[in-house]
Amino acid sequence: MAQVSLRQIKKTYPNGFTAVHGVDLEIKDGEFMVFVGPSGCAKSTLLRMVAGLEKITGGEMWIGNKQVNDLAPKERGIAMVFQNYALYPHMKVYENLAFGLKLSGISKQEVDQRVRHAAELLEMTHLLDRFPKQLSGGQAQRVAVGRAIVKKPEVFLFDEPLSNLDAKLRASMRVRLTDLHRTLRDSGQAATSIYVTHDQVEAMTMGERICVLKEGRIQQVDTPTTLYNRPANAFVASFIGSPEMNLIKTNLHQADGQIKVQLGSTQLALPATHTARLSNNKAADVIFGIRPEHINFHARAQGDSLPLETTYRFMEHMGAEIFLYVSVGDTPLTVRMPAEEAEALAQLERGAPIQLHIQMSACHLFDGQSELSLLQP
Amino acid sequence: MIAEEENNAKPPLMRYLILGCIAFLMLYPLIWLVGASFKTNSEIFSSAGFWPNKIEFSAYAAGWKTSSEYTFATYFINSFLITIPKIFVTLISCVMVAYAFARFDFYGKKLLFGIMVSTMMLPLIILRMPQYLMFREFGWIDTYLPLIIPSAFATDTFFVFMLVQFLRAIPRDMEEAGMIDGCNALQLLFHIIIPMLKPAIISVIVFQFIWTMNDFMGPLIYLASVENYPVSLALKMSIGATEEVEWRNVIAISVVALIPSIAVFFAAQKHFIEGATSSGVKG
Repeated sequence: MAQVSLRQIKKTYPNGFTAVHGVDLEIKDGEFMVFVGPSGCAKSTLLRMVAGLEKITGGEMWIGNKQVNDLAPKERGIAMVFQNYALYPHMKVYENLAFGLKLSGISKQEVDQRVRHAAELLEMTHLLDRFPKQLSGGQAQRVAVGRAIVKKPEVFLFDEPLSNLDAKLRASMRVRLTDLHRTLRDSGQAATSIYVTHDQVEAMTMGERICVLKEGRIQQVDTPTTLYNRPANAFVASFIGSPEMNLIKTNLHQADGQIKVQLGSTQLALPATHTARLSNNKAADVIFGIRPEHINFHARAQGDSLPLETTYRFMEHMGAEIFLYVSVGDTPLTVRMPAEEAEALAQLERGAPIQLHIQMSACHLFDGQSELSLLQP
Repeated sequence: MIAEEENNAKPPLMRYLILGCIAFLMLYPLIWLVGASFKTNSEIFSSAGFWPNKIEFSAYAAGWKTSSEYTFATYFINSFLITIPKIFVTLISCVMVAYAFARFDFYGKKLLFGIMVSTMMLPLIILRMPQYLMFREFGWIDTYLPLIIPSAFATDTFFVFMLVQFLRAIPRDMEEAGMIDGCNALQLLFHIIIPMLKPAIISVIVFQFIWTMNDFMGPLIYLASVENYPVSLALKMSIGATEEVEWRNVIAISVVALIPSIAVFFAAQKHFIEGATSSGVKG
């Protein structure tokens, strides 16, 4: 069993600064959990506390059935992959993989077997006689992962392992790491993983659950789909999804039994499902959220698309789709649409009026003060 | 554009020419020394030129034999008997002290580090008298112990300071990886840090070797018996006040005395420069 429990975990530095404010989190056995958030949100600090590289100043940390607060890293059953690989430059790849095993007193034969098995799994058998300086970034990262695998830990810890790689290599390594996790789990090996990243694309594609952090506090923990479709607050809504959700501070108006939201000079009526959830809400100040793909050039068939007059600024061609940048008054909006629709917009000049359609059933509403979602059941 | 590139290509030649001339001027005394070792006594004082009129090798043999009962073989062995143990204890003590200062937090660390750095500014002569009195009490006079033992307590603060700076440039990731792999503090030092400190350690070896081989004051104060004299004292002994000095012999043996330091320097040159400039290791 290799579940990880964080119970009211706190980190306060000697100068009084509190980086982590009482975090509670349960990571299931074999789960791939991603910690994501902007720089300074304490995701790496949390990971390092799990690893034992940072002292825990409050709360309890459990790995399996063991409380590990005061245990050294080597006693916690963890293995870590660092952002800068942290390979030992004076040792060949083989020795880098074998070093930890030799220190723990494992027999030479067993060490060799584990090293070669990990090398085969990561397709790096041909690299075993090289020094780290002779490796490319992707190869070095595979060696760092291999060094973690050979230890057969209870928990794998990844501290932004792909951030030093180029975009293409990052994409392929993402797939490789996800595949590796599933392979280890399917083979019965302990594979609980905690993965830290600031890249929400990595989080969404790799995580089975994602923990979104901000300023040392958990904002929401859920599956990627739920985070994307039902963000708990405006921060999660803007952080998850690329391009990020359009968030507009505005007001609600009640008229003729309908609740309408003001966008520029237009008032758009909320659908009945949203209105029902707002029945107890007295707030007039809200943050209106709509994802770029829910703003369309043509009205959708369901009939909940309402027209909105906007002003064209410019567009970006991304290949299969385009990102259209418009404004409603002084408020910028980002729109995502299929590339074929761009043809109709090719002749538009900057500043030209353009009518778009908002899928109101897909909109989000957040309290203007607390920024919490007003539509959560 | 092409003219600009041609202009840009010209300066390096001039630069090397000027630098070469200055280097030659500064090195000439040393170069002259080598040439003088093959001259006669009268020619040494009459000619500033490098080339001897007639090449004489006898000065080397005569200088090596010396006018004492011991040859320079004895004096070189004595020098190595001081230098090698001193390097050994310097490395052990300075690396451990530097590791403690660079990687650990302990009560009084800043104060101790400040005291250590401030001792670098003390003139060595101030320490001679109290140290002499102490070693006399220990009964260590006319032994090599006063020359070696202080270095076992990291009193060569320049080396500690240099190692601390070098250690600070080493990223902590590798040590954290070592901790996760199961290293305790000493295992981290031995398996991870010392291999990465190699350039700085070689610099310590080179500096300590050259300085100890050239040390004159220390052996002069603590060594009384001629049989214990290192090369530096033996050379001075060759310039006796009571008899006529065979300068060609002294010059020849001075050239020989330079060889170990020059050999060590050139053997470690690549690592020495990297260590001296404290470039550190990039993780």
